[in-house]
Amino acid sequence: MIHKQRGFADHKKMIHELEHTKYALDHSAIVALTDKTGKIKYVNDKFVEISGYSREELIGKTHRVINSQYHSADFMKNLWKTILSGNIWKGEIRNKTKNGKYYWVDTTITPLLDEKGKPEQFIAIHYDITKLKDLEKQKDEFIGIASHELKTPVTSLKGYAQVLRKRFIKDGNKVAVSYMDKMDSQINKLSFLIQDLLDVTKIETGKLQFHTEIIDMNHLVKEILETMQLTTEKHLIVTQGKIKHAVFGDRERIGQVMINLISNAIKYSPKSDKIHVLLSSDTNTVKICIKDYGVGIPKEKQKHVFKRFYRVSGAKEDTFPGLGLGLYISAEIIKRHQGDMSVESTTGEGSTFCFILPTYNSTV
Amino acid sequence: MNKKRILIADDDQSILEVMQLILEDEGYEVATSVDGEDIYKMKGDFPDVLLLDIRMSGIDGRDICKYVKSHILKKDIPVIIISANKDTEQIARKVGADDFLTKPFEIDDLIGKVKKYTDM
Repeated sequence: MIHKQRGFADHKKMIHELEHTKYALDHSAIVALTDKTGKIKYVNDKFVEISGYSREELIGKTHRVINSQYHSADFMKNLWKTILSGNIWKGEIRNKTKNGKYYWVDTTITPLLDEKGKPEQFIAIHYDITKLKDLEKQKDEFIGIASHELKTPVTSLKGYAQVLRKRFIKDGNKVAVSYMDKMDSQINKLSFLIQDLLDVTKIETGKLQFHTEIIDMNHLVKEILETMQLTTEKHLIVTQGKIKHAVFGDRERIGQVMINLISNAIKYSPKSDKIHVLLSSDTNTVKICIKDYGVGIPKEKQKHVFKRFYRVSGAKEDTFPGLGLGLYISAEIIKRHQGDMSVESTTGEGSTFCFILPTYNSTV
Repeated sequence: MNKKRILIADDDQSILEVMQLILEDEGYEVATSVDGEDIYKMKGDFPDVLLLDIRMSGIDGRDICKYVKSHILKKDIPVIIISANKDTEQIARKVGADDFLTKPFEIDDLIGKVKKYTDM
């Protein structure tokens, strides 16, 4: 009897504690509970408040009520696949209020499982991140405008530098010409940095546009290598293999990826004299690898190199400048061509960056 | 022989000046415009080449290009679109321009493109 009473007291205490937890959660988060088909069974006050719908309008409906049509079918499919298999889904979702206004929520959907381990209900906990998203957008727009504005003075600076260079050539002033060459190459560096910032903004705001055509990859590779060979006296860039299939994509952007990988190979292998460009293809994919014999990347850092602003830093690499944008931009360009980029590297021996692209025939 | 005449429209004074300097060094007669308004007013005596910026304060160079290319008398003026936009080539094609140049440019590219139309 005493034992039973204690059980009852424990149970009561537990419910009390749960109520406290729910109280705290309701005051901090937007909460919804749905059945396994996604029909809403419960929403808290914060959900009602942010969505603009009454509780009655929401119960029994699915989250489609607040769907803003922003996310792709793949995005939704992945969400459902994750939670239906009993896993927790985390992500950012854009929703729409009853009045048609958009709001962003940071979301965690946790499946509540039955005895057989199958999802019975889903609990969705959201946090309002609309302000954060607005700030992010403002930041991206600012970088976009700022980098566009930066290009104007760079254009006239470059123009004047080249006018001066020409005049020095006419006067036979070789020393001054060599200074002007250095100045011009620094102006070019500055202008590439600005372009990288612009590209990142375009990627972040979804404004990166592709002008697609059928590309003869051997021709493109040859063209790029001829230009890149001019930028290094130390390294010999050697091609191996051949590509037998065309690619459908943006010629300039794919060229930009190769330029980025080769510049990196040059930059990070100051003590070697060779860079290999390995070409291969089958009916479905074209593969291009850039292999250098430079400083390499430590294993634990390799998975981060395609992240925005990531820079491999360490005692040895401290001397390599950069914004950490090139590989991020390159990987995004390849990803948006339905391709993939990867890296293999050994510290002290060098790195091989590869990308694959679907062939034209496999895409039509 | 009369000097070939180039009109440059760009809202940045410094870019106008340096382009003028480059082209005058090559023996061209250069006129400049900060907003491209002059192009609408021209009645005759058209330039041999028009260098046109896209983003000018309050004015869209694309509209000017479309106007020139649809004007019965002005449509034969070669238009070279000059812009800092990476998609300048596509923009130029879309508005019917004859050529394009991306900022910042190499002066030899500027001279080469202008020559292409004045030497015709």
